[in-house]
Amino acid sequence: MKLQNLWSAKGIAIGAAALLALSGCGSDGGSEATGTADADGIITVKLGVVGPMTGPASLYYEYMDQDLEAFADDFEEQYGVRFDVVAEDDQASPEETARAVSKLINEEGVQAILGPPLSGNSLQVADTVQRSAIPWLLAGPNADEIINYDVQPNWAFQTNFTNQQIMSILGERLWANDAKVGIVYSADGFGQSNLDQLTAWADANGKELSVEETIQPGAADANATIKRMKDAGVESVFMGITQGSDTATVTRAIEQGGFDPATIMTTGTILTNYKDVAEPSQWEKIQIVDPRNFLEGGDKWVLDQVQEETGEAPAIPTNNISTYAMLDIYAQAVQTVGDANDKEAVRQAMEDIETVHIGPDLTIESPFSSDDHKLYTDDPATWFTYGFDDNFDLVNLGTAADCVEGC
Amino acid sequence: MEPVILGLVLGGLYALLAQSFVLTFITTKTLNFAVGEFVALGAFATIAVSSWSWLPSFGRVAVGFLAASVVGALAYRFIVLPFTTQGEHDTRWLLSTVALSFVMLNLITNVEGPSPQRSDTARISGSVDVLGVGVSKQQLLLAVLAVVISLILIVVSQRTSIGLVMRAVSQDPETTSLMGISPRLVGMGAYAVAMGLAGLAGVLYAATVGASPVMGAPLLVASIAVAVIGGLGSLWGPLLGGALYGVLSEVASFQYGAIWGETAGLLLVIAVLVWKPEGLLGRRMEVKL
Amino acid sequence: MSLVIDNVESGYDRAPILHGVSMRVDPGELVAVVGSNGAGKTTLVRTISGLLAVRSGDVADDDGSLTKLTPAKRARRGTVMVPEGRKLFPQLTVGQNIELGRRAARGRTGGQDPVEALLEAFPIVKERWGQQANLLSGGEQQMVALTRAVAARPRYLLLDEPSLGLSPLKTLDVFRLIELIRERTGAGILLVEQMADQALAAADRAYVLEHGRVSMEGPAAELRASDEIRRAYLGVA
Repeated sequence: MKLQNLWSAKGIAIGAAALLALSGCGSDGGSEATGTADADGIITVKLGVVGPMTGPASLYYEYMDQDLEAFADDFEEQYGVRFDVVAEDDQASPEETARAVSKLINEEGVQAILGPPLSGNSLQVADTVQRSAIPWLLAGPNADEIINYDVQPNWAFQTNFTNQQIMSILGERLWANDAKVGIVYSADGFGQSNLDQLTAWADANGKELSVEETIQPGAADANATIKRMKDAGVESVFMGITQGSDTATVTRAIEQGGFDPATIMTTGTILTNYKDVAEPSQWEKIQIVDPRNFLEGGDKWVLDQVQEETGEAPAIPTNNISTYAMLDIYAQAVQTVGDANDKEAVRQAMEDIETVHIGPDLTIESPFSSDDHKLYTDDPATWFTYGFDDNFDLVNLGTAADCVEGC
Repeated sequence: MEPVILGLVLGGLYALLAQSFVLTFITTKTLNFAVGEFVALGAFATIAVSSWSWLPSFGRVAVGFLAASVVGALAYRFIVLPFTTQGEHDTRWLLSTVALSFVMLNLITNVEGPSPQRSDTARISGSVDVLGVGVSKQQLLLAVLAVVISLILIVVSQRTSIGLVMRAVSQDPETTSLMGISPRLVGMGAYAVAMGLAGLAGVLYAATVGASPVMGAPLLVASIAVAVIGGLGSLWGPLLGGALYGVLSEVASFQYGAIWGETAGLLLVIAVLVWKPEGLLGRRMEVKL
Repeated sequence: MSLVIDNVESGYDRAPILHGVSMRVDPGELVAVVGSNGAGKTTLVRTISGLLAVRSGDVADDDGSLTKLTPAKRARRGTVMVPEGRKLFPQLTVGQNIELGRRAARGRTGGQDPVEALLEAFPIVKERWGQQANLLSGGEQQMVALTRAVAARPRYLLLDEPSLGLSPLKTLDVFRLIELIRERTGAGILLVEQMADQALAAADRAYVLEHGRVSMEGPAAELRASDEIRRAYLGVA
């Protein structure tokens, strides 16, 4: 009886598969991502995109999706490169990331991989991608450890700033006038990396972190943390926190505990999920540094275009911009080589790229070399310092160099 | 003094959720591991009606309570009860409530999105001075509510006929059914109140941290810890457990850093489980053969 | 107008215990069911009260079939059971136990309170009113359990081994109370007992249950006098 059921179920499955094949709806149907130029001179690239499509971290997939939706036509027009996207859900977990990436490489045979956006998950698959010799477009992650420059040729490129870079900028600012510095960081990969890099900068520059405190994601309060900072006489606070809502918990505790440090710095993560759960009095003193100019020029153009084309606010503004830069670099490289299947040539073209375009009027010249696949540098003169007004709109306070002593 | 006051206040939030575990445990001998999602459900239900200006904010809070309450009663009837039918050693409900937690989390995320949403209903900004310590008014409200609701539940269970029925079911559901009382209805009632409380906690907590699908999950470990410390069989348990857990974890956080706060609370749970497995105020369960 | 058990089969998953049992209890009648250990006596009362499902056959009261109803609904329709081992709520007082019994009588009130009459005749229950039930002696507990059942205003009362674990003297008290309950409430009583002699002496009619089947039935006095019964259940050679 059971056996019979099994057979009939199998029969139905075979029948359905046959129907699909006949009607041309199979997974391979319709795609012409040959990686070389077609009759119209358009090169269609099979681009694997991996990120958390579902679950609480889904914003980290959404920004890639938004950019591909908003700018696909532009890249096709400019460089004659079209993206045929194969998306895989990594559910923000290392195991699923490993599965997704291996599927993209081995089963789908993609010609480049965009993502995963979270540092921890990228670290998990770094060896795999490097060994597979496939251009790896890291537009999201900040961790320096993902790229091991001892291995050459190196296939990974990073268009976000790295933790080491931002910590160098922040280090100058936090320890200005030999202030006492405390860090509160999330108990996760991002937070740990922030702590490690800040400690590394401090060690290298003969400074010392006076207080190190963690916050658990979703913690109900941070009163004790703030009290310890206050008691230790901390004057500069750095918040390396993944979720804006956790940042809000910390700034609430700062206000409630009557703690009044001279400097409060954080990262761009505050732009997501913070405003709605905080009050103006809590963000008054917070500043961030970033190599991008969100308020004018090409960076702003990217954000405006995303808003206009998708009808949604940019999911993670910093990463929307870095994804644009990355797609620009890759599309140029493919155009130069003329064949996305020649991955080593494409990789070399990316490494040798002369001008990266971010929007119509922002360019970055020759950012890469064989042991530097990072788009930005740690020169404070090229970074911006931002504060927030009452509506939580960014206010450009000047370059990081201008603001070393405070802005 | 400061960590003690802040610990008591923080313990209040956990106590409210622990009470919801205790309520379902004494009446049905089951725990709902989806409580965290009911916290989120209550918060989002209140946000959904926040634009109804004709409804006073008390009414909007009530909507959060009722939404969680109705879904809670149905969850007992269709997700918990069918998996408890094979006697006292039938623990399939454990898996079915965990599954419910995943399903609700995904449903809520699909409908509301993953980002926290601001909730202004029952939002009280600022802090108030309690014995020289600045305490957030919102958290204080939660703590006071936890105490008041616990006392109401205790009085109801000791002094009313509903309470009598509840205690009878907790001692012997089969014999209770011979008294013309349906243990299934009592269970649904208990789940309705318990999940309603989780929803209420969600509404008030969301006013501080915002409503998000995952908002309840971080509270789950602490509130189960509180329920276990106090004793799953006692309505007084959450108050004692919440106070001990809150004060201990806050003192440890102040002394040794936040990372030790939670650890200290969980060490207390282990100590209680070793020394008095039924919880500080729990009654030792007689093993029935 | 009677409690009718018609060709009932029931038992546990892999072990059917009753194989087509038919019985009848009329209002005001005391019917004894005797049988050895394992004959299916407890299964019988649990099936009638709804704690065990009927596999086939029918159980019906004056208003119709009970087989689809939960135990709670059957109790509210007046078929009330006193389980083996009394099953008082141990941490509640005597008074609270009896109050809970009244829950089954919701909607069937009026007339004289049957509990009052019992309390007068057996003042010990009233004296223990505020005490926690698990502090009572076995005999006292049985008194309370019977009073609790009476508070439910039974039309049919199912008693499972009320003499279990009691001294002969206490057993006498319990039988006196059962007699009084029949007199005051007019309920039909189905009495399942191992103390066959006493049960048969008190009952009007009786059934003998053997291996899940009714092997004999008739007026209690006749059965009590029959040689077969005397050998098998009354210990007379």
